[in-house]
Amino acid sequence: MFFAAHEVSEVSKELPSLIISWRPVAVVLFPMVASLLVLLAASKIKRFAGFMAALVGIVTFLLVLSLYPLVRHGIIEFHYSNLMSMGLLFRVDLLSFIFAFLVSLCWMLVLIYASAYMSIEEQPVLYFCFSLLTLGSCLGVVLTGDLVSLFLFFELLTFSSYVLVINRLNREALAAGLFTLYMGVAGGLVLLFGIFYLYSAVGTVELAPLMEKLAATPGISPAVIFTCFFIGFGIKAGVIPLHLWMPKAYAASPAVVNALSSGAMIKAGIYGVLRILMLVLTPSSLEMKELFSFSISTGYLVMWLGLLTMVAGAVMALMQGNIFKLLAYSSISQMGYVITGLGAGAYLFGAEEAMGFSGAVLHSFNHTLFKTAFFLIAGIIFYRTGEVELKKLGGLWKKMPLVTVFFILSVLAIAGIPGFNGYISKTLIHDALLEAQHHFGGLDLYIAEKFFLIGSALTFCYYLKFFQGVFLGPGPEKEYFKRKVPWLLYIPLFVLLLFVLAIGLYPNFFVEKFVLASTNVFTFDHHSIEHIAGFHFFDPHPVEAALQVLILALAIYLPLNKWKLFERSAPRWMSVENLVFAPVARVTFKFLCRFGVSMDGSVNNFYFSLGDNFLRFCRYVGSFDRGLDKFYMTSSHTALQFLEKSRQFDDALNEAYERTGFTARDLADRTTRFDGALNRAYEITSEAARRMADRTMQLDEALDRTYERTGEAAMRMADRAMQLDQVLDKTYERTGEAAKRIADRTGQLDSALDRGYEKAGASTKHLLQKGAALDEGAGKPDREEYAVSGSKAKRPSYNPLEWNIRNINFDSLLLALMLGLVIFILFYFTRGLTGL
Amino acid sequence: METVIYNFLPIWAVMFPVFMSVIIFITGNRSEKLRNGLSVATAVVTFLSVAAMYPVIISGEIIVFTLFDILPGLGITVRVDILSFCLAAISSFVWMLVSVYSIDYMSHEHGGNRYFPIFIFTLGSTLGIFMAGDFFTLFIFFELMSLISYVLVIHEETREALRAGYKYLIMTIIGGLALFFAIILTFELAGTVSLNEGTLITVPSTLAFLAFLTFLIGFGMKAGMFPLHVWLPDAHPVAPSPASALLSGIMLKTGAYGLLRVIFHVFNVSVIKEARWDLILGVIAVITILLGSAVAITQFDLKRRLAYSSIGQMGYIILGMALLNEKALVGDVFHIFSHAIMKSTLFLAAGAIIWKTGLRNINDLHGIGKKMPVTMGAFTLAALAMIGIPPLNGFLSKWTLSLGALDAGAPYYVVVLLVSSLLNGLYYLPIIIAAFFGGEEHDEEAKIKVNEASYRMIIPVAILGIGCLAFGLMPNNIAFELSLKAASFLFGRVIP
Repeated sequence: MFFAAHEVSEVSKELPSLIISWRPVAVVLFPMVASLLVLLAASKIKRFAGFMAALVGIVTFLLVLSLYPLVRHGIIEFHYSNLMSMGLLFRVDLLSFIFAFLVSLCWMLVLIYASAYMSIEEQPVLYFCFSLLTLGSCLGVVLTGDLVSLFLFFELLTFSSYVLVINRLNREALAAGLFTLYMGVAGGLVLLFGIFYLYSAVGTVELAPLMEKLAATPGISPAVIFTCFFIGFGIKAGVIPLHLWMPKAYAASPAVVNALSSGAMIKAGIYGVLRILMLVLTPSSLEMKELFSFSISTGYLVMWLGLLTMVAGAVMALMQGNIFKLLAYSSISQMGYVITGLGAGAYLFGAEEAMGFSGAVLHSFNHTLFKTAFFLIAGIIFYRTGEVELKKLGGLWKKMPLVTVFFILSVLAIAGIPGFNGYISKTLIHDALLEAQHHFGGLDLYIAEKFFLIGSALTFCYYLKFFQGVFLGPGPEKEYFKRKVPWLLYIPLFVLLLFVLAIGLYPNFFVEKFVLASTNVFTFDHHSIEHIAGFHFFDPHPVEAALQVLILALAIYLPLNKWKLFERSAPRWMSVENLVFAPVARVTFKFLCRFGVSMDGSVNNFYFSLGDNFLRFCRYVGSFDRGLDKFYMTSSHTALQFLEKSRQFDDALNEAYERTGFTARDLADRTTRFDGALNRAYEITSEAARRMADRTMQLDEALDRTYERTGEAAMRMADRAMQLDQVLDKTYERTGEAAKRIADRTGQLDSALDRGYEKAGASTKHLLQKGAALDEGAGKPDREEYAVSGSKAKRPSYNPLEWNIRNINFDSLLLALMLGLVIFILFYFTRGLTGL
Repeated sequence: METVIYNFLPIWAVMFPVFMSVIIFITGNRSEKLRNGLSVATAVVTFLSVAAMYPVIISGEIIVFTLFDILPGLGITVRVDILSFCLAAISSFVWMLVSVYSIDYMSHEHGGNRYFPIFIFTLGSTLGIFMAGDFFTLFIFFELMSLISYVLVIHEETREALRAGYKYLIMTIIGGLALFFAIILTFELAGTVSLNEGTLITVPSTLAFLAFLTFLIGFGMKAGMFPLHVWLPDAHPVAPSPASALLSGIMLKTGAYGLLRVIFHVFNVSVIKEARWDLILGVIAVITILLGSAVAITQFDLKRRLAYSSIGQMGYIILGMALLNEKALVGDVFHIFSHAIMKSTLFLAAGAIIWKTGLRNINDLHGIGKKMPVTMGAFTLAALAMIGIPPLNGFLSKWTLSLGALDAGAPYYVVVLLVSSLLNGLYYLPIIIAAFFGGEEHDEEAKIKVNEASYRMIIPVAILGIGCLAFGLMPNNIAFELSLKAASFLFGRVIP
């Protein structure tokens, strides 16, 4: 057990040793497996479910406690290297242990309570199974050593807690559950993005200080990582403005679920935020002072966010009429304290940083104690009366005095009255703020400190309102007391208040042994740790602050109560949900869906119109095709005709050719024949020619001979001719002489003739004169007369006595011929002789 | 490490179902029981013969050989490397389970004699795609599968189914033609289309870009990539549920497989990076993811919602390719595994519900989880895996993909993935919630009065549902190991 005496300084100074143990795995897996067993058992006997679940809760708590001896000596680790392909790392240090402790403690008490309480609800089996599953995942979140494993359990937590929220299965519960689930899933995804980003930047998902590595990686903004993680865990932790799911879920689910949500599950978110601060904002050694600027500015922002959450949550709580909603906003407000503490711690880096951190850790522990108590009390009230509205309740202090006492003690705790645990943690956080003011100065920090006081005062106010509404005043006329409260419902309250008082009365013991020991996961200044270890909680100064708060609370509450201002609630639109989230979500969602649908539709339409156009185009092509077809038809027709004609022509041509062929063949035959004949003729001719040549030769020879002979003959002839010539010469001479004598004789003849002609002429003239005289005298001569006249006329020209051809007788002719012949022969021979 | 091994298991795995589909068709006319038995036996034998390649493949060897050549450099070739094996193994595994599921599902439907032979034939052709040694062979099987699966789409023969089938057919043909064009371009540019040559195109010319684009159209059409996805939400819901499971779970992956081959074998990482084509892929992926997820929210037909979800999920796979680094590729291949298992679970579970109740509208399914706990349990596991809840397999793939995106220096892709996860949550969670926690306020008459489907339908659904958990959580995650090996193999080729 953690009460074991051990020096804090020793634990924090020595390097933590590594202990390999499967125990954390068992702690996580046991409730998960048990939930299945409970489901199986419940299907047989329903009554056992609650009992079994309570038993499992107790065993789990003991298992968690059994980690303490190990964790006191070092860090427990267990690594499944090949599970989920990335490895699953369990690692428990003291910080993990504190959270595991408070988670399992809260769960154990609530399960014990629920085993009696769930008899009034309709779905006890659903509750017990899933609360055990949720317990396992919640423990998983705080016991894992790397972000992937953490994320695994974180998502499991989201889903299994969803089933817890919708336990009543009515419309309201389902709506609230769905809202919670969506926020959880969205937060998970943002967280996942942060993990991706971190991993890609530094290559590890281990929960270890990574500030230097981040600073050394260029292009990586630690602010992005921090924001992602803060949103992711902040949704679980209910940081304003991410708290929206809480009031809805709390109002719709049974008290036992709310007690778990507020007491334990919120702490998973806080744990995450703590780890992130360690991851991103804490250097591995204090020497790296230059890196603090980011821590300081982030811390400043976170601190203000915490203060805002605190005050706004308190104001909202003040306005609620439903006790569960009031407690929900109270939880939000209380988480504001924790966040403020963390922010102040980061802001004070290098100074009194441990103050803020340990205040935050202690306050989350304290919150688990008193807020669980509140929810259990509210559960008892609901169990007894079946009512949750403040207006309808009243006067219960008489009927339930024990519950009234518990309630008053819890209020004192949460309001921070000295002697109770709330005082301790609030004092630490307040002191951190004072320290910041002291350290940095400035009006803003002064206001911050006052804000803190106002928040605390408001906290007191709304619990006064709660108290007045439920326990004081007249009870309603109608009798609503229905059931007797079983004693089992009181036991967890006893335990819780025991812790409340123990921490409140012995603060230094707890702070040293428990809270400060856990700070060794951070690299804190030793001075600041020692400062807290020796902190005097009951000094006048912090007590005075508590009293201030009380007075302020009364100053706020009394006038408000007098004028009944609590009943007024803010207008519906004036909430973060209706102002920011709902419109943004709706617009984004609508945009995405509309965009998607319209895009999808337009793509579809595009295809269809494409198809239509294509069809139209096809139709065009079709008509074109038809035209083309027609054209082809006509042209083919024409072509056919043409073909026919050409065929005919062809036939004719063919015929002609054939005929020509025949003729040609005939011709060829003939030619061949002719050729043969020619050949033969040539042959014959050649033979004949040869023969002729022969003959010619012979002839030639004969001719030769002839010529020779002729020559000879000619020679002889020439000789003869010569002789003839001489003969002739002599002949000529004789002839000449003869001719001369002839010529003389002829001359004589001629003159004789002349005289004959003259006498003939004179007789003719005479005759003619006689003829003319006859013509004139006779007139018409008859034929005879004429013939006679004619013969008479001729008679003068043909004088047979005259030389006339007709007078030449035959003898003379023959003589002439003979003469010519002789001349011819003479001439011939002369020529022939001369030619030779 | 590349050795030519004459291992005839790939041919057996492809040809056996094709051959058996004939026998199943013949026996179907005689005996329904024999037909069903043979179908299951064929699927089992095929799965076993694919699984038998594991020792060869895991030792880093590649089965490569040529059956015969049609033209020089163009023939029917076989090639099984680790990526082929991954796809073939998951396909035949899911097919085997779906064949068991089909028996009871089809007993109430008409046309079982048509369904089973086609179902088995499609198995053969799908495996053919994965085991093809070159793009030519791949194309043949791709077309075969696409056209044959048309019969599965229009099985119901309703007006709606025929319309959807017609759309599917037209789109498929367009895709096939684009693919053919791309292959011809590649052949022209590189002289071969073999997968065994390493990078085929090393210069990002205009022609190469055209090839890339047409490859993207051809394979993207099948993968349901925006803006070619329009057939998918029509075709997948109208098919009988076991066929939808295969269409969505397996056959979409053939497109993804083809794109992977294009990126790593036709081109290579440096070419695509140099030409900035990864940007095209990235933009398409982002639109596909957001569109699929957003439109799914507006659908109230259960199967139609699942179909749109498939579009979104295929966007993840395309995104994984767009990132072009090894880590993203691991996530990519693993998401192929994951989505195959998740989506078949979802479709089979939806099929069981529709089969039992006849209800398709999500608003009518109040309280179904109490009546059919196993079916809805598996559905829940798969749906949560879809959202990316650890430790389910969907988370693992989303995780690896996101790390890949961050490695690539693109955190906005992670934001897209996470937004899509949220949208997945918005459309899956109400189904689950209504199934388990709804219906309390309804009066007795409105409540669904059915009980769980027959064991032959539950068992495959349950195995797949548990698969979602096992492949996320299990140590020695075989799918993840294979994805790691496949990614390093693909990158090992590119960067010597």
